[in-house]
Amino acid sequence: MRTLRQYLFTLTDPEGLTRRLGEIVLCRDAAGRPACAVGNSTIVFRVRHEGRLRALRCFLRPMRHLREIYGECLFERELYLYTSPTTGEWVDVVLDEWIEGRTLREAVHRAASDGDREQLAALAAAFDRLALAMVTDDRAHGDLKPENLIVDPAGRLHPIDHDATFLPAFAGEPSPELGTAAYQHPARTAADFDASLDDYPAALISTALHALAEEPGLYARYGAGDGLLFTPSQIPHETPYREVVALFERRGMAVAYRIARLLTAPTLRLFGLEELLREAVRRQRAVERAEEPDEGPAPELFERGGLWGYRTQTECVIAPLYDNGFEFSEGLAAVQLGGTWHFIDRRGRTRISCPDCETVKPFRNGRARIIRRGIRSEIDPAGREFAI
Amino acid sequence: MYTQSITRNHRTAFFIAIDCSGSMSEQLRFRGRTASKAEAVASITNGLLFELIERARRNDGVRNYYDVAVLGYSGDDEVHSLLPDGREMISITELAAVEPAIRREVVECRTPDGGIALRELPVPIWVEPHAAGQTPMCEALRRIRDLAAAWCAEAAHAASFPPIVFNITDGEATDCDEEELRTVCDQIKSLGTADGKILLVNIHITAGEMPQTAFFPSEEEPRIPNRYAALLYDCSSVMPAVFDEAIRAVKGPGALPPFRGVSYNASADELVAMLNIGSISVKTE
Repeated sequence: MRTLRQYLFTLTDPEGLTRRLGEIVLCRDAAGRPACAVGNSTIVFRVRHEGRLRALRCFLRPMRHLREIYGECLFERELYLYTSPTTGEWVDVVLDEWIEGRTLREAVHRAASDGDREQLAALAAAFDRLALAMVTDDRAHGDLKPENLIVDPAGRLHPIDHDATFLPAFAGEPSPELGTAAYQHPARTAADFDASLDDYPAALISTALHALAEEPGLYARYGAGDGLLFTPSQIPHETPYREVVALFERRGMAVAYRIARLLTAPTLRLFGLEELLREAVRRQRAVERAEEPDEGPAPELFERGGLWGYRTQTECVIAPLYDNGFEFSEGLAAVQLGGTWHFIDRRGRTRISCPDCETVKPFRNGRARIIRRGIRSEIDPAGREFAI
Repeated sequence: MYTQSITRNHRTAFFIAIDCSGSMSEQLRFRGRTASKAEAVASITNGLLFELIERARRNDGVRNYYDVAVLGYSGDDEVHSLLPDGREMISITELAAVEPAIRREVVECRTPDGGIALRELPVPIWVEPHAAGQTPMCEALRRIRDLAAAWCAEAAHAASFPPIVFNITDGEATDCDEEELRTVCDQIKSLGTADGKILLVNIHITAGEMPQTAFFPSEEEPRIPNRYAALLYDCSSVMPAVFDEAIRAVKGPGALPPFRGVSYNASADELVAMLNIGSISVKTE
């Protein structure tokens, strides 16, 4: 077992203690301490090498598959680590690009503390794009969590700490570690080691980020734990989870609602997550491009997997996300998400929410009938309610 | 059992009892220089505290991953805290906030090409060495028993990884007989959390090379035919499987678990290994 002190002893003056790397200069923080991040199995030092800032990854215990994971960034038997004043061993290190930025955890903490919905929404969108790429490839990070994602100044997310990575070449082996419990499926064991490892943490983090973008105050109430908002072993009964699912239902956030519901799955692989993340990314891009609904014939209601969506003759325009639905009428369609009715437009955006309504009817002549707590009334396309 | 990771909401505790009797003034070779056993143990303990602090340090500060107690036993049944301000127990966050004295140690090192180089390292000092009087080991362990019982009884620690007790000594207790020592050790080992019983690791150290040694012995290793070695063995915990990898990394891949948390006639380097294995090998998140 190697210690931080051993690495500091070596790196404080590493002259003559490297084979190929040459001069490495340890960077220090404002307090004069070596700039490093200590994890369970590794220490990452910020160093200056050949005039550039680099991340020097050092290992506290023997690790598997470093060559496959880190490729040319791995320098085998590179650094002489003193184990005593007269003895030492040559240890592997990884020298990689230094990514300037904050962890996603830090970024969330700051944005939530400031009540910055816009920033939280941007982080959620960026995460969904990254998560889609991660759950659709043939590998897995293995320890996906906000602390292992760096947000660069441009708002892009960069995964770090790849020691728990699954690659197809590792199929059949036990997992070298179990990730961080606050973000992992409660049933994960060492026998679970495949490309679907990132499904659950991806869904968990996406859910938390979208919830915080809607209600930053959730962080003050539930953000003091080990995870962002949730405790996987207590889903679906815990208060923060139930509150978030109810929030998504109440606001007609269909994609986020369905992703959140996946967190109750008994399996580590979350079936349908890829499609939901794809839909989330598609919708976000439509918002960024300010796309307006097609003026052609209204899409038609269709059912798949017990859920309802809308399609034209050529494509699905609103993914099947709803528990019930009516055909489009006067530009809006009544849909039910969980127990709550909403009216959505042809881009799937929620325009009117009808909490506590037992039933609603499609729009006719500019009005839609609703029944709320046994009382009939009408609403107009702006959501204003009128007695009848 | 013994599966809970150390987190902010599930911290663990380390209790270190250090023999500060007169025999600890005996000299040994430690990191290339001559020092007393007491100085070596204090240095190693300070190194462990430094390691625990830095491993708990994140961008948002030092996380409250551990509570620590360091008790010295010596003199005439004297048991006293060796931590700053005499506090019996301190969180790692509080310890990190204490500005320790810094001693600059200059170490003569052999470079890989066979040369000699002087390397300087700042060493934080929280624990000072002591060596005087008798060995009131039982009194120290009773105090630790009481501290550990109170810690385990706190609701916040109910699901935590159970505490680990290290007893570092170079000799036998002078304040009790074998039966009393077994009793207090059994009382300590009976305490615990929902994640398992407290682990008691007895570390017997020596100044020179001795013919009979034990280091995390496995069941298949022959027992040392020594009454005191056998007593320490019985007083120590069986190490759970979570420590097997770390222990085998030191003992060699041929070593078969389960391992007993004890050493006999251990060197200073083995003391370092035992403390590291029993503390920093437990997963943090």
